[in-house]
Amino acid sequence: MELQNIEAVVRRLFSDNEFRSTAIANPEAAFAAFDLRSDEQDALTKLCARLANGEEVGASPMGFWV
Amino acid sequence: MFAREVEHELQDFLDGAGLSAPFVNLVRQPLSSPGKILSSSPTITWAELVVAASDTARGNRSAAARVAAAVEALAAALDVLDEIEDGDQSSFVETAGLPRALNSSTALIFLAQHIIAELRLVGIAPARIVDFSEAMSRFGLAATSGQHQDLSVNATSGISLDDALQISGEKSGSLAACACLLGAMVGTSDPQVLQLYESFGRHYGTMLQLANDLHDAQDVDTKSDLRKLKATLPILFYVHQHHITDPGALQPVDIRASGALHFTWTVVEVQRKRCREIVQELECHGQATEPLQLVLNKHSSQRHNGDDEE
Repeated sequence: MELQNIEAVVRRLFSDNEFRSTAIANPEAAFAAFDLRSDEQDALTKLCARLANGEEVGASPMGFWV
Repeated sequence: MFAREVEHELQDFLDGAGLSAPFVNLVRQPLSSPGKILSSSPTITWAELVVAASDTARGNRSAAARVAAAVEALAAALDVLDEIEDGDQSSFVETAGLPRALNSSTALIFLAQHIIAELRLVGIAPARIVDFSEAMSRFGLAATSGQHQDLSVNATSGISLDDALQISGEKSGSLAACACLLGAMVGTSDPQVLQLYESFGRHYGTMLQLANDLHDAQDVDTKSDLRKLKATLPILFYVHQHHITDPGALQPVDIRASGALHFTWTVVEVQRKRCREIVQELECHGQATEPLQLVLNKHSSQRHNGDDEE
């Protein structure tokens, strides 16, 4: 798995308000310029939904390595 | 409840190993810390993953419980070593002292191999026991290789995000792959199907490690990730952008504002989707996948501020 595409999208989401607004409103259109795999696009679309709802992304320690 | 079966397996093997009672009590401690298999309220355990894979492959429960006991022993041993190697706070190491903690860890590694060697008593053909032993050793070695890399770099070493993901996969994905593969081997010997179980475990273990890295990047009180500039995905994401060399310059609030947590969260989601896809493939191969799905959904409902399940 290569992370450069996810990295590029997330960096832009946090540096470009116009892109962020577009991605929240229409992720498919916003992500078209990036060479994303379908699983990457799905995950980033879910991220945009969280951003739209103002939800934090945190995590509780999970499973084996608590 | 399988946790009780696994507990009996571990206790029986410890009692039958000819060790002194004080040493048995010491060796039990890493298996009994909060959330672990011998604690009063185990959370998600290695045993659960082993048994879920075995049930999915329609393996017999007695053999699965024994394999699960071996995997728990191995994981507990590596946990002790990890705490020592990372210099983390460890009540076990503080209580036992470093030399005895190390010796207990060594005992747990031999205990794991000993339990695997006795699988013939629960219906595993002797010729296949070598395969179980080989798999456990192979993944154990891979985990130590990942640990070596993890100990050898930090976020200022110039490693890439892809490198960091690869280290997580080797260090943590290997053990979960081991648990899944060994569990599945109780029920099937089909190499193509076993490859899928191994792959599920690798993605699953990586997912959990990344989720913990995400959490630890926000916890400056009890975790050393920020202080040591550990090469985890959230910290690397931030350091690459801001060219940080001084650990004191790293603040959780800045990491959050940079998108580093969101980036890591997204990678966790991709790993989880891979797990789901593999479960579907296993279903196509006639596997009874509900137990693996339950394990995956258990994590989904535990984590990330109530994220939805698919």
